[in-house]
Amino acid sequence: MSSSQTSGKIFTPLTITLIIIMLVIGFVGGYYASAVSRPSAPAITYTYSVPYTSVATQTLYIERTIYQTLLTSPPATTPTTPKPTTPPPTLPSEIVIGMAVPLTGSQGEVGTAGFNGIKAAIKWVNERYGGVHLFGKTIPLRLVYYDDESSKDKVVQYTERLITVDKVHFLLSSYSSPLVFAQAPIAEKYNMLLINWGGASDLIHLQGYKMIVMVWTPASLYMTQAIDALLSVKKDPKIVLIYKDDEFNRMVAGGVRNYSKKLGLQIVYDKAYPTDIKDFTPYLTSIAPLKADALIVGSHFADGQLLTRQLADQEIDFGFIAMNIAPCYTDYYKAFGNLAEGIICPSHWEVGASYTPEIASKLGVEWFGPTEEEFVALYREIVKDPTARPPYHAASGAAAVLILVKAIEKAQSLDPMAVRKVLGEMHLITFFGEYKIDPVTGIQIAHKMILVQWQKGNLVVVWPPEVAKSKLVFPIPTWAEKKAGKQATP
Amino acid sequence: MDPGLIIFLFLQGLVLGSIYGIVAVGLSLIFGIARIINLSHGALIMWGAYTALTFFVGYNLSPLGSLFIAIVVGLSLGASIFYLVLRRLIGAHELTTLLATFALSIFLEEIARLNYGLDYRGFSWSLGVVKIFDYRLTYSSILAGVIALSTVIILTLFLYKTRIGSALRGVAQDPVGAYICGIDVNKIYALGIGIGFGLAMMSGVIITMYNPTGINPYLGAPYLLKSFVIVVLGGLGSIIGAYVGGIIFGLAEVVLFPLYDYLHFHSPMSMTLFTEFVILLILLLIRPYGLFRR
Repeated sequence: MSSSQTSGKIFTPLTITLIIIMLVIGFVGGYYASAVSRPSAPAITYTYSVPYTSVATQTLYIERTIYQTLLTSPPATTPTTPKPTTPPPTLPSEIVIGMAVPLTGSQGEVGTAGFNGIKAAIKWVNERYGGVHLFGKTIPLRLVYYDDESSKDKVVQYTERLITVDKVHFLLSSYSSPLVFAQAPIAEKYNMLLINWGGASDLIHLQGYKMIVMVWTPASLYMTQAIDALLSVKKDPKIVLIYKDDEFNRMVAGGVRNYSKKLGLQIVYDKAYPTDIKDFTPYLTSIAPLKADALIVGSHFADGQLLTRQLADQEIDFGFIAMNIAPCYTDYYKAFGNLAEGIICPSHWEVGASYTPEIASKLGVEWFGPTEEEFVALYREIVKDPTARPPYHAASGAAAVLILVKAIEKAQSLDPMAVRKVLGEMHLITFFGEYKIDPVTGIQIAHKMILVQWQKGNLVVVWPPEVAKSKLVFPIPTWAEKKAGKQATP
Repeated sequence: MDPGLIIFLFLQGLVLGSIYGIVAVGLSLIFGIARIINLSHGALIMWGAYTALTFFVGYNLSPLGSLFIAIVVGLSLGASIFYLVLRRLIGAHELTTLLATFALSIFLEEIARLNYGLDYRGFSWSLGVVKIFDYRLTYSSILAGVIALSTVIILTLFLYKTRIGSALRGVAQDPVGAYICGIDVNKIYALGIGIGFGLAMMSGVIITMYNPTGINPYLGAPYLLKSFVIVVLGGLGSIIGAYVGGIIFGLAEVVLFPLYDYLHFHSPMSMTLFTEFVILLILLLIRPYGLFRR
């Protein structure tokens, strides 16, 4: 080939210099990325306490840690538009809620669950509750949605379309932090209220946006309950932490890191993995010799499944495995059968661990929406499966609708700014749990996590003790034992 | 450092490299014979993975059985695509064939999307694990590596020890000369492209033997990218070069990862990929024609 004749000239001092410069940039960049993408432990500069009231109405207090990022983020301003006091000349025949949601793609499984929960809540509002009560009239809700295919490009495109072409009154978020992160600036640009039921990363709310309101617990507190549960069964545990390198799981990992540091716990391995990971073997090779007690994983559905498969194949055992999202789904058990036994998932809600009107009345907080039984029945109608078990994403989606409806009614307005102001002040309980946000950032501060564990083929609530339906199994059976048929029995 | 870990990493690198090698061989073969850069290679790998999934879930057929189905389907598809599309483009500018195979890639991916949806699929096929010191390697991944190696050996023997193999090499070197010698050049092109497609689909099945989860319509894209790197590393058109390039790539991955892990990089896998591409860049500056082409 002719190129061979010129190869000698190509490798000149200039090219060598360029290569060296590139290598230095790459390595320094890699190191810098390591430094900035970890909210480092000493960054805890501010703590405050939030009343943590359990379903069993026992009052606890958890200390929440807020990262430096929260403090250094640009300050947001609370919407100040006063709510209108006079009825508008014409009320619309329906209130249109828009949503771009991943019904397919890597987030399709979970996105669909949330979508079905939202449909169930809209059905409750329209058919049982009679519609949104506005100026003495009842107005039904209508949902306009697009499948964003788990794509950041498409979620942006559809969010803009919902606002400018479909002219929706309010927006519900997409599912997963990266997608909500992508769509949030679009909603903000048009001053459109976005109820975030699907993106738990704290960072979404630390960008100075004023129109984004969070329904569930932020990511930084996802796994703190898992650490508490672990400490209840194992003194001074050795913890392995691996997490997907995305907006949501970086915050989850930051929460674990800070909480462990505070409790003086040892994290023996702490690494991120790429979002498009196809093989965990290199990580597992590094983890296996550490003989740690607990594995905490910041994952989504597809990568959580892949990791479980490879952990089982390579028989790398831990007494305690807590993993985000994937194990919360019945499909997880369908895919792995007995191998799923003992795996723990942090959850925002589970069937059997709901809030009720009685609890709301004891706490002195306003109740709104269907009871758990009503919601589960409606969800089963929507998915046309009489035995379906709604996951927490479905409940969170439903809660988003209920919170929005209540806020519209309180504001007596369809103006997004007026509704946002009410959302900043409102304290409400639905079957999903408590709702109260930080009025400035929109971060959820009242809702609490629970832990569920696969035990004898069922996903049961094991933590916190006051709502637990079963005892936490520790240590869980080894992969070899599970392959031989042993189950996690309390 | 634990000597057991070094031996394990070496074996693991060989297995992974062998799989990368077979993934790249099909791409290299088609370029070697017909001077076509097959951008549909990734889509064919994806279809191979779906073949394994479909036959495992639907007919309880292990991926070993699906290997043969994938080869036959790939061979037929390759030959058909040659007669339908690529025959008209032989000798055309390389950009033309690039666009044609890119279109084919989109077509194949969208058919998969229509048929299977965008959800990540997987199946559970396990043959157990072998313990190497304190570390475990699955039998199915070792088997995948061995099948990849055997395939390359058989392919090399076929190309260098049979009359059809000679014809394939003849057409690759000089189609006009081969035509004058009485070789039906079109049939040879169809066969070569068919084998390339068959190998691509087969490597999709082999990938599921290594890791039977995460199957989706865009599964092939990262493998296509890696294949390009490996093929360029080994020398475009060289079968042995592609395979050895794959082995180098696999070994580099398993060596670099623990290194970055040890150096406390927060995402060692991303740094590993970065370094692999830097190595490629340096190699291309030294030997722009690849390791195995003169």
